[in-house]
Amino acid sequence: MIDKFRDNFREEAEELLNNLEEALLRLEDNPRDADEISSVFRCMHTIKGSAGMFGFLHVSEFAHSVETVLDDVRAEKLTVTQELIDLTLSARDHIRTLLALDDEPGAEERAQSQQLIERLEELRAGASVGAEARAAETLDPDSVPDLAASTAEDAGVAASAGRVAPGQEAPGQEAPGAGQAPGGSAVPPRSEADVGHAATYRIQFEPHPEIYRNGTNPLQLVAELHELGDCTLIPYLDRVPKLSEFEPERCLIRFDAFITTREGMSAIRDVFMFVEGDSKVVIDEIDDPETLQEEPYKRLGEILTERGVAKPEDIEAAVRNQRRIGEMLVDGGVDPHYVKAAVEEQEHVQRSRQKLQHELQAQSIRVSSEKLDSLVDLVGELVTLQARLAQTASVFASPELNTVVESFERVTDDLRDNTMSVRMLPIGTTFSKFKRLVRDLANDLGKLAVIETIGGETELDKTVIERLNDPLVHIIRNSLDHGIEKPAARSARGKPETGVIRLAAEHSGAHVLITVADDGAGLDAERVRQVAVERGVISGSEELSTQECYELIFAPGFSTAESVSNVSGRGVGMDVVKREIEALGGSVAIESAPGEGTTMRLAIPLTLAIIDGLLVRLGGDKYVVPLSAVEECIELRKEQRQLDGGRRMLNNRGEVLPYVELRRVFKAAGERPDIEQIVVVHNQDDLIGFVVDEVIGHYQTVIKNLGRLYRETDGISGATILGDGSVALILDTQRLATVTIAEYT
Amino acid sequence: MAETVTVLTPRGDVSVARIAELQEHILDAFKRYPKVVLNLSRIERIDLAFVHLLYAAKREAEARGVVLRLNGRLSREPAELLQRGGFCKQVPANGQELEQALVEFEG
Repeated sequence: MIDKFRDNFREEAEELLNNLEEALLRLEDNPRDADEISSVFRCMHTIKGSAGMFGFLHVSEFAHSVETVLDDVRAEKLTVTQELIDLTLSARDHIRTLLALDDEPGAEERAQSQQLIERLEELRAGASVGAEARAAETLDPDSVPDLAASTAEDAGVAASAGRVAPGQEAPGQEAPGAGQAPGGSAVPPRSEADVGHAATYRIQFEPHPEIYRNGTNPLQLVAELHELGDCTLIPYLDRVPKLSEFEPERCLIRFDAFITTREGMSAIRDVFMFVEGDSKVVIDEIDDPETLQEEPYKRLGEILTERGVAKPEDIEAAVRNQRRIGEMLVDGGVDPHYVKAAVEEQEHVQRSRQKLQHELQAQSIRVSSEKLDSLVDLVGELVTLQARLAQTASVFASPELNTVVESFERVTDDLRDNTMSVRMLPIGTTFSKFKRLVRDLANDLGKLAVIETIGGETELDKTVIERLNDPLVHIIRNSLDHGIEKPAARSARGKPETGVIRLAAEHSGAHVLITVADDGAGLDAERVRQVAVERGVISGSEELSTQECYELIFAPGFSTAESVSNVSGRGVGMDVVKREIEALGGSVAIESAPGEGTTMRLAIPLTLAIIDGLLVRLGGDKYVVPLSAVEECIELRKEQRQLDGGRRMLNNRGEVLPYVELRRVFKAAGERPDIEQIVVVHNQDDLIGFVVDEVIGHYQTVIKNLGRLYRETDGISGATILGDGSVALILDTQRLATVTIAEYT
Repeated sequence: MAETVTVLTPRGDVSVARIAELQEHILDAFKRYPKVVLNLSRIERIDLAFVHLLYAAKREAEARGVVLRLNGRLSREPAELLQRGGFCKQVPANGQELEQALVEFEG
């Protein structure tokens, strides 16, 4: 059970760590942004708290040390420097390593923790010297500019600055009941998931005049309310007298608070637990933002009457005279505080309703990806069964049965679409990781580069996103390594010193187009050709166009790296990248302009699980051609075959169409029909035809992976189960074209 | 020689136990100067009694026709407490902002 919680925590921590990384990178760009500083702090704070709760004590302790430093940053004792960002990023990576461990951290990890803590401590120690210097600066009369201005008129008075300084002789006296700092670690942050029903409460809090005597600081109490939820506080100051009549130990300020919380009334009562006996604390639930959304909140007049501030007659009179109620009541001698409080009450309720509605819309739950995968599998089975049912029903020719089958088909289609959409994730999650990659790699290479991302909201199937990660890493690495020049070289070419890698994603039909463009040196076609000749990819005598030269980088053997996971290697194998993308059913193309940069274009299918296919027959076997690749289907008659003299070319409306006889490729049994069909598919920029015995028709294809033994089969991307229970192989048209053309030539 | 402005710089923990003392200093300053500046930059901790004092001082100054100015960069902790207590909409960065917030509230 505990393990399950720990796993859940690991998942959540991963998300937190990613947020932390993003926040740190944003902070690097805007080191003074207080919001970013707090969000970095909050991430670390939450990691610390939850790690402790789930028994990752070492992580919790380590995060605590980092948090201490971040707290100094928040308190402006420490400024955000490159070193701080680097160290915090390293600390983040280290926490990730620690969380991945199955056991307690070993000596190596502990040493690493210790080393990072020491470096952080050094940073803090270094800063405290600086802080003293800054504190000394604040003593400088310049820090009181208003005074400087006023003394300029009255020459010679500046000397009075700071001469009356009460309390100098009693520093550091602890205020009774002063308690913890707000927003400090005293109150653990409450997660949104474990709370109940949201409600808005009005709290009238009138501290007993002698409240200070028992060491309570009412200001601290009301400030604590903020920990429970969105809170608006209105202090009433009408009873505060002039200073000469003021009794310091009497409390005369009272408060109205409006708070929207899921913690319930008892949590609010807890805040006032120790003062409720003497002070007046009235708590009323005034709004239920979760169920009463339809009706507008009370009018100002209603609130004021309800509180006994105004009489219903006054309100009616105001309405009759078409005057603003607030104005009229204030004119009639009502304290403006009451009117202001009523207005605040209205505003608070409206705001909390809006906020909650937004929250409800954005509500989400966490489901493990295995469950999701098995759901998709089941939907796949259902789609298959549905096809079988339709086939069987057609035999009976019963109108009643057909109606049921049609309805069933509609529901199945909806279910399929909904299930697939659940698996869709915005590609931005992957994009954000690349910021770190570019940052670190540029540092290593002594280059300046930023990555710009466009279309991060574009959705793709989860599996596709996962499998896209490594190829993208390699493309981006290549751009940085070989594309972007060193700052000096860039300057010399009249480019800005900082290179830009632009990563964009957009939908295009059943595909997502991903572009990785850099503004680097571009490819040197001649050099690429030379390397290809040196490595035996091509013979020295081949005449190639510039574009053909560029495409050589995708050729196997052009680069030396062997595996796509070899992230740290140089000269990453673009052939591996290309293979990975093609395995996804996608394609990759390259464009380059010398001196201006290189662009890689990837076309990736939206999903891998279910595709629209064209079912074809070869002898007794059936195959599926992905519909997204199909251009058209044409007939191939026996006479035409005989005419082309074995060149396997066809004049298709004036264009030469090469075709491949799949019968030969798959060694299909049986007689070759007199009239065959050619399925014309895209092959990069060209078209190619696949000759089949018969085109059966459109088929909703649930993709099943081939067993390990057949996974590497060239030209086949998977299999599907047909309505009659038989199996059809799914053709990988791109690979098939490449393989078969190579065979023929 | 009459001085026309004075600056009071309360330090450290300015809570109920120290308020009477500060009250005395401010009243004394009001008697002697047409303009009094409260420099808040050295305050580390406050409670509600300090807020009382600020408003009471403001009222006294208005009654006497003396100018009371708040000045100096506020520490984070007291600034946040003032905002959370509903005395200012935003966390005041300095005395001027706090003064503005208090004036607005009164208006």
